[in-house]
Amino acid sequence: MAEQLLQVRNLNVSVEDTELLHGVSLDVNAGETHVLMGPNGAGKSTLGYTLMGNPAYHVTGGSIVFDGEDITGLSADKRAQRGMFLSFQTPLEVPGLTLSAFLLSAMRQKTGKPVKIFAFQKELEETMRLLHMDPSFAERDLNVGLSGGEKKKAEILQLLMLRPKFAILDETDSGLDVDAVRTVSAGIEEYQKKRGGALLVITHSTRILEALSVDYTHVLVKGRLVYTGGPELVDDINEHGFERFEAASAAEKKQ
Amino acid sequence: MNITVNRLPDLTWNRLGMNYGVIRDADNLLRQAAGIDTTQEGLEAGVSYRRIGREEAQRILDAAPAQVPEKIVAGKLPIYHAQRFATGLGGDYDAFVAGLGLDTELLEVAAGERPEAPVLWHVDFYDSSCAVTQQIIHVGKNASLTLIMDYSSAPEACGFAGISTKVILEDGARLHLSKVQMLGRGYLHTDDLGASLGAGADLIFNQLELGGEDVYVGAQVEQIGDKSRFTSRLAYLTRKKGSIDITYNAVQRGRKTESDMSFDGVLYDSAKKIWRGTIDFRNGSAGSVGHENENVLMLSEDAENKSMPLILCEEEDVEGQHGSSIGRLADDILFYFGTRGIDERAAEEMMVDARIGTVTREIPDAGVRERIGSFLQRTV
Repeated sequence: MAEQLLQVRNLNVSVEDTELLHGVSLDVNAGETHVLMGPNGAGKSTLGYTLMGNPAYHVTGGSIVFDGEDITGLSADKRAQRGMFLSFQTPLEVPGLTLSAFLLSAMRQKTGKPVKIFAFQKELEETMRLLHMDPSFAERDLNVGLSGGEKKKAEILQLLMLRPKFAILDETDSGLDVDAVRTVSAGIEEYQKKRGGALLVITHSTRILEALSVDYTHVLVKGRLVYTGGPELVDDINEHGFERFEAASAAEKKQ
Repeated sequence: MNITVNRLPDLTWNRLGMNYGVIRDADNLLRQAAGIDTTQEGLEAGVSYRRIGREEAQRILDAAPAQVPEKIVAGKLPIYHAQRFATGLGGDYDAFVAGLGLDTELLEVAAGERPEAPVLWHVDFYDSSCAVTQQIIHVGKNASLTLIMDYSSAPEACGFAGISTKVILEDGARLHLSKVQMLGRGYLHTDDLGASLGAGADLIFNQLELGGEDVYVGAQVEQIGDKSRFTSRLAYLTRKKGSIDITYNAVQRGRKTESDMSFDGVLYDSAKKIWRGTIDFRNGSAGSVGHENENVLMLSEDAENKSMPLILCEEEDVEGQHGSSIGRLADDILFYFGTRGIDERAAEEMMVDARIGTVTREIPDAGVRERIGSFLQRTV
């Protein structure tokens, strides 16, 4: 039996008195890849941010259990230390802090131990090579002056270096050209296959999924998970859009 | 006796308490202050160092690219400087230093000389010292120099450390000047800079104010020649009951001049900070561009920040910009760091390092950068 990693039960989430997620339940087992799709404004990023513990999103009901522990009340750093990760749609720029120094600090915080610098640098170089990143970016300020594609690669670089058990990828493919999507996909595939990580991939498009082995696809409409299917659902949505799910959601709401 | 320093070039509401800074009870300083030995390393061929008397110093300053003393007129007209060679802290401080009757240290680079190695200029202030040092840095036509000045003392030392630096860049000259202050936590520190830039001259100025208790920093850069450039990066840490009072004036007089000033600071505990940053486009500065940017990270509810950005224009064909970010660490930064397992305290430490790091990395000497790292580890 697959090892249970994430259990979300009847999650209600509000921002400034407006409820954005209504009774969302989701199970992710170790090593599985889940895709979360939905029209604009459905609440996909809200779910990702809530799972990761963004304090702007208030859980007003339900629970999040990760690796057997109820983490509903934990801060983002505690969740990350337990093995969660979020790749941002718009990564922040931090002048004065290099990518390598940031990663090194994150690794120290995670393990609570000193990091062996030589091994760290070797792994960093290899991972940057995999992602076709200019090695000089490691010593440049975090995300400062990088193109959209390079920023997304830097996020996947962090994913690979930090080796979380579960990663949420929030629109990692948005704004990327075909080559960049291919490179980023290769990085995610590496995480999925060689590092055995579980994924929740939030996406509008299907390009990033072509290289990935998907286990489940979920459709979120107006803050509710309205349908869960297999990997074939991705192609179906690609062809027919979200119309039938939106109609079903509207009908359900009327009842 | 009080010394009025860091006058704003154009008065604002007096009740804001930002028009100028005051060094109180300067009589004691005047009675006790003396000169101090300094050391210089890396003087290559074409670079000379010597001590000179008051008359010779004045002759050199008089021969600088022309500065015109301006009358101080309160009221509707701007309050311009009245110094023959303008500095940031201003005329009262200049008179105070002159009153001590000290020699001036002169560092000169002959025309056309471009030594590769930086000159390292070190001043070691001992505990309870009350010392002042003044220097003229004169870079000849089409010459260039990298100069790193650092001031340090024992961590717990107290006293008074006064610095007065006047820079003359002839046409086409370039100076990369770094000033690093790592004084003990009880020091009163004053650091004054005046610079006169000829045509096409280029001044890059990095300043780190990391120690001391009460700090007064002033810089006035007169961009007299056409196409002269001024780039500055100041970073500071102010802790406990300490204070820092900062004035930077980029006075752009020549055509197509450029200035770019950035200020990054961290305020802890009940620290106080006043910053005045002025881009001053004068008649004749058509086609000039000026930018200034201030970032203040406030790590305590009790810290006090006052900021006065100012852009003055006597020309229409100029472009001036100001940007600022002041406050605690933004929630989005804390969340981003959090998603990597970094808690709030560690995030704050990293952001402090980042603020200082933007200037530290511009200092072209590994030994000095290492000393800055050690100082920060010891004090923050």
